[in-house]
Amino acid sequence: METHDQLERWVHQRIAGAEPAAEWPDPADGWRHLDQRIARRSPHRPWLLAGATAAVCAAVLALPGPRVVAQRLWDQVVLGRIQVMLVDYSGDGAAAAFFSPDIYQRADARPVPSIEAASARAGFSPRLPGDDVFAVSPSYSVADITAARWQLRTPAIRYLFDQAGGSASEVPDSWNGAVLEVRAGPMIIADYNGVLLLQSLPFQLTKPVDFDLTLFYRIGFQVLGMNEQEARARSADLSLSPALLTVMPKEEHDLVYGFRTKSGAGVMIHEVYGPGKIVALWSGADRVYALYPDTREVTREFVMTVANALE
Amino acid sequence: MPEDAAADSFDFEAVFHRHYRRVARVIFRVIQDPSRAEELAVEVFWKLWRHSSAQGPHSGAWLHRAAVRTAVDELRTRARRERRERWFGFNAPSGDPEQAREAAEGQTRIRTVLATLRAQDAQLIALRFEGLSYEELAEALDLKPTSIGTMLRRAQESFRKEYVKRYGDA
Repeated sequence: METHDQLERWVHQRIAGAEPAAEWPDPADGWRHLDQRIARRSPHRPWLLAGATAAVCAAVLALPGPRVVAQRLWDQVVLGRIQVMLVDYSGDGAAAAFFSPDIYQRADARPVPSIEAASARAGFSPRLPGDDVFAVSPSYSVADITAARWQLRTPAIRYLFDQAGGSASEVPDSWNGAVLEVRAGPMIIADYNGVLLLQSLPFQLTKPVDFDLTLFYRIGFQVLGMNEQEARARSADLSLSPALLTVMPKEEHDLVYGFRTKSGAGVMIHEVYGPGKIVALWSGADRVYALYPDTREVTREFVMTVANALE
Repeated sequence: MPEDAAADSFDFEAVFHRHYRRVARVIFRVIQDPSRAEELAVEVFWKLWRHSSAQGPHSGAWLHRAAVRTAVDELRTRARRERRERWFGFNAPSGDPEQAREAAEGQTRIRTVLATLRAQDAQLIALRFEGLSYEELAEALDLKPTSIGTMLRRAQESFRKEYVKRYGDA
């Protein structure tokens, strides 16, 4: 009597008569076609989303090229809010350049098919406005962590502080070579047909143990032109309520608009990415948000509407 | 990366590279058309991309099921189209010796025979040929593991019967 093995061998011999080459098909070809198809479905190609994410992170981590004077200092262990500080800075840019971090890990944003997939990938669930705020349903992407590092050089800080009228001896020797690191993300991006709503859990700052952030802020503010009394007051405030700090020159005050939401505060920065473009950054209960109009313009009122609809 | 890991660490690109070749070959096994098999394999992964509930530790089985169903659907669609075209005279048998020789080739034979089988039988045969175990077959086609042996044998007997009827025992 015929066994099942014999029957199976007979069938497989017939099927194997039309065997494709062992290396067929090429997964790279398949992936390219799939990637194209995914990109066609998304309003923006993945590289565009990555670019937008990088741009928003850059708004937090370092201001873009035309405003090289405007720089930022850092923060605290958990950076749950965002604050812009206008300083009367008239230096030649050396201080600003000195305080620029090295963004050594840039976010790579990839589209995901659903809000569930976005949550799974990012590790948290996004908060979204009701259907009445945006007229369209969003598509989603998730950007990986963006990380920036800042290695301190005591001689340079002492020189700048001295130039600003401070006492170089206040800069501790232990700061030399110290590394501050900020990690932002993962970030969920909801794309409402050209207006990107980004959100992340609070950013994280890693600093050396016993590193005196209050002193660091004060010295930084003085280097950037703030008088000692004001610098002391501001740095003390920051030590009590950690914030991701954006420092901008006073002459650009007309571009910065602070606002409060139901559960936090934020700032809109005008014309950072082109005429009429507003980038808004704000914090909620346990989130950092950004609104980035990629292909459309938005008004201040609309930013407020979105911000208040999230918490 | 472990087998598809958990949904919260689902690496779509890694899953694609791990399963794409097998998915394409399963489809090819049924439709015997390499170009179309590649297109349909991409289609299967596109479906996986859109169905987040399928992304997780069982995505491999999901892919096998989707691949073989897609392939059998394609086969049946083709068969219907060919019948329709013959009916309307678009593709009437010409008696051309070259065409007759082509029809005798293995690819056409396999495609023709599989198209006549029940969908589930064709799916079982294609996946089994690609080396799936009984357990993997059961998971991919959502069947009872204890029934797989019997069902597979019946499917293969149906295949042989149809093949021999059309082409002899060559």
